Amino acid sequence: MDQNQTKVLNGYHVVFLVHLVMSGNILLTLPNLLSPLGFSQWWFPLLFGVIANLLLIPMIWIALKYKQHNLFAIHELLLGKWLGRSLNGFLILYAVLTLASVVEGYLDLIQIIALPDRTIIGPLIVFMLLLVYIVNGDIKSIARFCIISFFLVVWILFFLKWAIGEGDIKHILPLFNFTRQEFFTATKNGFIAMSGFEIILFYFPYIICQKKAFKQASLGIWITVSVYFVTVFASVMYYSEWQLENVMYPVLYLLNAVTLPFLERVDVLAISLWVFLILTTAAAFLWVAKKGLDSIRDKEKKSHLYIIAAIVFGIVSIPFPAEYQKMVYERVYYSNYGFMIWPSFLCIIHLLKTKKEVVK
Amino acid sequence: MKRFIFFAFLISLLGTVGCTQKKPSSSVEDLSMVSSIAFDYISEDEVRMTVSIPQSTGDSQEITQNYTVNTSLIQDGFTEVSSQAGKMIALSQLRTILFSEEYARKGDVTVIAKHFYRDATVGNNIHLAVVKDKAEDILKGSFPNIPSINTYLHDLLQPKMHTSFSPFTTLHDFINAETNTVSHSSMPYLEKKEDSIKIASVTLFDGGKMLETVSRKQSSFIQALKGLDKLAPLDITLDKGSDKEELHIELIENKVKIRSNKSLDSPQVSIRIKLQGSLVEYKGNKDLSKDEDFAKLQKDISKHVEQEVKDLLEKLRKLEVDPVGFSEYFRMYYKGKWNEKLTEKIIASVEYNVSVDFDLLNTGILK
Repeated sequence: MDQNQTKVLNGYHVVFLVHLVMSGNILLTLPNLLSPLGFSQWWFPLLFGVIANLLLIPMIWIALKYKQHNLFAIHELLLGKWLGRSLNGFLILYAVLTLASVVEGYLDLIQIIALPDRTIIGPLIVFMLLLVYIVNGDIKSIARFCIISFFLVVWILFFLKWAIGEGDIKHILPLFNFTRQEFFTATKNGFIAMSGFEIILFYFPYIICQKKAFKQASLGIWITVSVYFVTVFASVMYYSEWQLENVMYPVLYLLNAVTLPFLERVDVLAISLWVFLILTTAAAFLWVAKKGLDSIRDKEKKSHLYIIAAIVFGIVSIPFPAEYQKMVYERVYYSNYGFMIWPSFLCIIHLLKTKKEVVK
Repeated sequence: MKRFIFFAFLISLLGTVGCTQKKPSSSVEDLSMVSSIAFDYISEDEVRMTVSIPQSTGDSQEITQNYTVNTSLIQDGFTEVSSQAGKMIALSQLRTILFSEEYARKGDVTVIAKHFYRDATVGNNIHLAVVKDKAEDILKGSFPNIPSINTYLHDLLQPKMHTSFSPFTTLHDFINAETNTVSHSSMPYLEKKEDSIKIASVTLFDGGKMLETVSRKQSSFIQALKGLDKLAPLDITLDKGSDKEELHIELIENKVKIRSNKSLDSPQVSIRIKLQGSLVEYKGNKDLSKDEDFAKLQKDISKHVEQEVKDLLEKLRKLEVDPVGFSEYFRMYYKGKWNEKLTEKIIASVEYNVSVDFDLLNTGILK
């Protein structure tokens, strides 16, 4: 029904796409990533939200200049065919590696917490099949999946009540208790939690009401920020500084504090539901990679999707040496920052180019 | 055609499930779910570990099975228990960890606590307690009135009104108090009576080692200072030479306000405790139907409690521990990394200004 229509995303779709693509598995480790700041970390999600919102401005601006094109096409238009396409090649690589790191991070966690005596290959196959199924329906199906995921997962926040009840509100003072060095380390590690909203550059052409996109995307960002804020705040109240530094998945232990007469170990329940957050993030990146391959090969084909899914499956299931893997994923994280700033440069290039044309 | 192939594929997929090999993974029947563990002291490197496993009905006559091993590594001990029990040991149902007093004083409780804290299959709500004499005896002892020691221990260590003097330390609480730099941890101290177990007092810890026990009453005040809303029932004896008064107060509600003067050089803490409770029993010469006598009694109680809190704080200072975490009120305003030296300095030099206000709400419905 939507196959022949290009504009398919309404306002709700945009809000939840932005929100859920952002919150992947980073949320689980966020208080730990911010731990160099000690207790002062609790207001950092707010700061990150402001920065992310500022970074959104050039993205929407450049997208509004090229309403019919996604970032791959914009690259070709602005930088020429060769430069644009090689850059797009890097983008595809980036999307594939991000996807692999997200999937692998989650499956590792599943193996540690829920299935310590099984291999991950079974869950991985099921996960990839689901992923391909979701992406098969194109961006609208991903957006719809985001909406349902949100409502299936969001109630877990209620379980933070126990941790907050046991925690100590006095931990929030003093406010600025960190050095410049600690500030930079924590921001470098933690800002990765905000990545994901930049995907809007790829699905922007599909948005029905593009003028309102900035407002809607900002709303999505701030929903994410409030989720992060509540979680980090609860962690700061509940943990000691040593625990923040040493507990790898602080959010799981937060949920471990829950005591209900009919339900034990809410953390295992939560980690199973977490698959929705991972699926949405992974689906968006898979879709981006597929679109990238489409644009490089100049034709839209379903097989591109399967090829990329197979590559990701390969990357995740081949046991690379852990150090090598860590190095690659770290590079991917940092290239993410580059990607978030990149649209500002595109704006400058666009301005220079249009000026030249006017002079001519 | 496409649909046919799809269905054929699905059905063959379902069919092939039968061909999978029997998985070596564990089902519930092959697991021994540990419910309680007790640690006793042997030497500096070795610990005596007793594991208590409730049996599923029909397995054997005994309701619980106990295994004891001497080991230097905890996980090594579990492997040995597994081989004794003939089943895999699983810790996901662990509820209670007991330490003997000797182990708590000579060994390092933090090492064991951290071991279980690291294990993702172990929940963080398991309770820790110190036992007088041997911890092994509690798990192995026969108590005619207690059908299952594991459930009994679990219930005993759950927070309840009449035992709310106890800190009910969970694994998270202990790790949290041991690793933060402002306070010290504590644990309930269990004693074996003839055919039951009771929480006799509360032990204080510093650096993973047990220091001293404090009485139930003093521990109740520690809980009050920590900000607990509802306190355990309180017995007070007002002894002024000639007239001796005994009181029992229940349903005590507590509101505490603690402030520091933010100065590290001459630290001062002001503590205001507001208590409200019902007087349930009274033995003495006062006529409580008279307003002036009643008011005087309230004043006497307030003064008495104030003195007891002051004595408690003095005792804590002598032991150089701070289970309440008064240093937190200085850390809040301190720029830079707070460390244990600063906490020690605060404990040694802080001046407390205590004021207690005790309101008696009613004396029952008889005149």
